Amino acid sequence: MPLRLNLYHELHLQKKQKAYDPLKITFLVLIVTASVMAVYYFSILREKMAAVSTLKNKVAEYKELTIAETAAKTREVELNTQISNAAFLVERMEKRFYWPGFLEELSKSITPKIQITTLNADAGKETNKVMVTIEGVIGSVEHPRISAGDFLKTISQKFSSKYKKVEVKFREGSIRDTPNTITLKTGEILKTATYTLEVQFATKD
Amino acid sequence: MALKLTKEEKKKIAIGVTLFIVFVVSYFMLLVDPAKAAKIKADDDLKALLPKIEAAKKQIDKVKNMEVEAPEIKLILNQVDSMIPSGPPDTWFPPKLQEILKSCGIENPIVTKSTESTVNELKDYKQLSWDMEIPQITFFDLCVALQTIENQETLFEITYIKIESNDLNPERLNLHFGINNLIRK
Repeated sequence: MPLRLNLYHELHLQKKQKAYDPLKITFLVLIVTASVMAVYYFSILREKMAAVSTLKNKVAEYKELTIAETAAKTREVELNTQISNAAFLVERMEKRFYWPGFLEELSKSITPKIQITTLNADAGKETNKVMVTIEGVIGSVEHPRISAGDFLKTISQKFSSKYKKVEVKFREGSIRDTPNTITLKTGEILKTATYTLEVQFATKD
Repeated sequence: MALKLTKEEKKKIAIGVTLFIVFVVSYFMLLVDPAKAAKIKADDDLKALLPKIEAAKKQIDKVKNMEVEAPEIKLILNQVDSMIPSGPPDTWFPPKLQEILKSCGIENPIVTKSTESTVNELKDYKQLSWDMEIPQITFFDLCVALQTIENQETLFEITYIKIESNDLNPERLNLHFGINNLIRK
């Protein structure tokens, strides 16, 4: 068998050493790492710039809207005042207490034997309430006080058909027999008593 | 064959590794972290701003919807203002009332101003109270007068009435009544 001598082993070793040079390998690794790091950084930078740009646009939008919003708030106050004024005025006009209706009901309760000398009616002191005081003279053939009681019932019935929460009563000690008499046109002579009737009722529920 | 490193080479490797670590740490501390923090801040600021933008848009839309009703409201207010003559009330209220009562056949009512007050619910208006006196009036004329005032002047509010019989003439009554009216401030 011929003898094979590898006279190139030193060259081979040198080549191998050159190929697997640690410094070369280190530089390669460093380049790859630096590239990855650069790509990563630029992607984060891109995201950051996109977010900042969106924020800038929204800030500009908000600045414009703020001016319009301030004007809108002022206008809202104005409109609310106008709306509440209009609503109050309409309600004031529609919910006024109508006196002819009240006088009509009262006149329906009066008979020739009942005289009113003073009528005081106030719709302004308490909201939605009317307070009435009626002073007068009541006549009857036999018992004026009984006629006064009938008058109270009539007033109560008539007013209850038109108003709410009607309260009718005689003022304490106001029914007094008098020595005077009344002669009607028919010739009837009536005994008399004075009275003070207090009525109150509600104009709204 | 194990790699044999000289002392010099070991020193160089150590310096290299140290530099690498410093580079990596600096990369994160000086570049990546600030960029990330800036992005997070921008996102947070945007998150905080979006509701404000929504609220501003809602406010603007709300007023736009209110403006739809505005002409009707303005019409009511203009109609009310047209019912209030210009000038001091002392110069127009008594003549106005006298004219109304004259149309009912009532001459020379006595008109006196009572009080002036503000109305809490109406910022732009104030209320005047007047006392009226009509002597020697029949019950029928009294009812007609009150009805005419109420129908013709919707801004007038009759607050009280006082009727007294007349001893000399039982068919004639003395009427006192109060009226509130509104004027612009």
